[in-house]
Amino acid sequence: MNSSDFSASVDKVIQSHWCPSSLFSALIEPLDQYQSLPQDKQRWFSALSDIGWNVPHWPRRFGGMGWDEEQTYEWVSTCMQRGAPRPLNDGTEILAPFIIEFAEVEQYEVLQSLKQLDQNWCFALGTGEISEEALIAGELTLGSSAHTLSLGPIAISVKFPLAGIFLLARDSVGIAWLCWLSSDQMPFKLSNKRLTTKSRFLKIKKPGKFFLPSNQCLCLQKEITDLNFSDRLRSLTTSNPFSEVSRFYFYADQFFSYVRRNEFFESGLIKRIGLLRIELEGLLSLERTIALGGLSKEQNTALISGLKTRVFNFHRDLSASVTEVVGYEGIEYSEPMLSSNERTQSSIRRVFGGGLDFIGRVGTKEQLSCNLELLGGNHVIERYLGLTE
Amino acid sequence: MDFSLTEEQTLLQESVDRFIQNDYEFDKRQSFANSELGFSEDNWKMFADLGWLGIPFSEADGGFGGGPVDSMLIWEQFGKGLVIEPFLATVILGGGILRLAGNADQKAAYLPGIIDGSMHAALAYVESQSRFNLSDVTTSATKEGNHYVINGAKSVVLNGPRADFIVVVARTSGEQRDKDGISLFLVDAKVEGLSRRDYPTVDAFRASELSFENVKVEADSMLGEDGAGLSILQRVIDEATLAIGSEAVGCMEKLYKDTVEYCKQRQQFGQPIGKFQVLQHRMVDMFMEHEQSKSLMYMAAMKLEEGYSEESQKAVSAFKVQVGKSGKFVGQNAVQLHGGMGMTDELNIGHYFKRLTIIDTLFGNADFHLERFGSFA
Repeated sequence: MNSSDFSASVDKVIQSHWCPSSLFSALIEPLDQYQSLPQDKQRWFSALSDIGWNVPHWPRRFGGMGWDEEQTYEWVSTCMQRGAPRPLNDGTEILAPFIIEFAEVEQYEVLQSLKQLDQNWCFALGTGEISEEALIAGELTLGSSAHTLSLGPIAISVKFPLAGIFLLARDSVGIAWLCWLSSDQMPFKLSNKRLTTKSRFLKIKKPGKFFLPSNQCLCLQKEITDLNFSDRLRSLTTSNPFSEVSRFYFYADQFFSYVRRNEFFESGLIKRIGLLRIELEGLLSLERTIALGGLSKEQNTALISGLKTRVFNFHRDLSASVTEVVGYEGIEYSEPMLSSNERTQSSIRRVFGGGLDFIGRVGTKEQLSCNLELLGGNHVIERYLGLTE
Repeated sequence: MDFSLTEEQTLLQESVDRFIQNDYEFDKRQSFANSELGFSEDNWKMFADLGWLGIPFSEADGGFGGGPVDSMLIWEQFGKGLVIEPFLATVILGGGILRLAGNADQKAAYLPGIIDGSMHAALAYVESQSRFNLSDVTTSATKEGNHYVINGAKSVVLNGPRADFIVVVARTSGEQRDKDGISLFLVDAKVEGLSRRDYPTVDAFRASELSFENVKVEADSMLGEDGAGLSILQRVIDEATLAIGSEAVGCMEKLYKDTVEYCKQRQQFGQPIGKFQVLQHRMVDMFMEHEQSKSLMYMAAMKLEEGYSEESQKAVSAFKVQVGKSGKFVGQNAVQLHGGMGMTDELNIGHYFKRLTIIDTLFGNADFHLERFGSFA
């Protein structure tokens, strides 16, 4: 299929099957991973499953369509740009490739669960004494038909509804194993309550010790000779791990459409917003280059760092423009985007980046940590350019 | 959208790169620019021998059937070397109009000469009042029997001094800013009634102011349909915009890399100035401006390769805006970080900066393309 036909088929699937019950839910969904909208999302994922588009990038013999990297990126990016829920998760992108590539046949059973996009398999990272690399989550004692997994303190990149978790463990001779356990096998409870912090991780201090069937453990020794796991992950997964621009493209575009429809904004504001639109296109192009440009590892790392900084700056500038527009007198409040309902209005502000929230956070610990991250991003590029060691 | 190049495209990119590295050092380039002609005829002949002049033309017309991506590859390398040979005016602009609007006889008469390097062309479309509005045309072409009589004036005609023939945009009907009524004519550079004032441009090219006083041309010198020239002109200008934008990306790459190298060498206060954090941040920003422009360059080239549509025009305009902003930023910072030397003619930095500044104003500046981008849905 050539690229225009493929793009057309992607458009058709999204238009036919992503039908959110309200624009509000469509706006909220891409940003707030903790706010569940089960019906819209459920319908979307069920529809994808029905037409065989739930894991299209998997090999055909595992239920996929054998899509290549470019097709996968195009699909994921377009979904997010249109406000549709991201059609993949950690289970399909991290756990599944390892199982497909290295597991024995009897271990393929978990793939059926992984294919269900409305159920999340989440990555658990080690945070305590066991793991210096913050990846090894526990120790595995090998048995004949079942192994004993002793977990240290872990942090789970959790998304509900939770189907299970997967993690790295180390056996007594230091070999790494990939283990997975379903939610009913977990020795600890994870509650489906809304998180109030900005942290994306749920921490479990004392997960405990339990038995794990041997077919839920995959020895990584012959494939990974060191613990530079993230590079190996990236080389095995087909989707671009960095798709921040596609993620917010939808709501930024909604804002630009709103401004375009209204003629009473002054020319200076229109110009500033126009420049933001161009910046957005540039950021999206850069994301695509990172995803599909066949760059060297060093250049890729440098560009991702640079792009993160620019994304941050874009958020800041977009927030300011949103605040300027929303605060402008005379805006027609009957517009669905700018309802006079206070809760909706504040949510819209939050969806658009929350200019006032952002300004309020300046000087806080969070802002400082963001700044540090940006400096770190610059440092990566400085190293790439040979300006520092 | 495929980022991978074909084998032919890779070879083309490498051959242009080799030419720039081996045969187009800055001092040589300056000697060409300061010559009477303003460029090197030997280089022009070599371009022809290597087939570069025929890249955009179809195989039926004697060319190589290349597209916007091939053009992008050539121009990015040209930007690194600040090539001043009149490729833009002859091949992209004048040749582009012929490619799109010429009939078989017209193509047969002129395209072989362009492709083998024996003929030069120019496109006369800018007028002193028109700014970037392609449809603002006061130069008139009035039908008289089997001829058209052209009267008016054109400004900043690139390669005007050397052109053997000129594609002239003139109005055959309608009011000054009407989109209909604009026609394209092939005019011999030595035709009676055509006068020229030649001058060098600030970025080392050559241009002319042309004055048409009762210039008589045959009726069959019209390219395309009567009054329907604007769409052809717009398309050629968009393709040329991609070309000079790609050139700007090449300039930016050269600038930021040279600046990084300079800052590693130049010592002040007991250490290389590249160790100072604020300067490092500036160089990081230069790098990112270049990379972002390059990404949009690929996007625009690939969209144009898929076909000339509203989407590709939008991509070209977005690219031009980015190049305008980024070129200014990279150019200015390169000059600043080189200190006093950055302002001299002896160093190449200032010449790249001048070229980037002019590129922003060619075929519509950033503000113009920002508005154009916004006009698309």
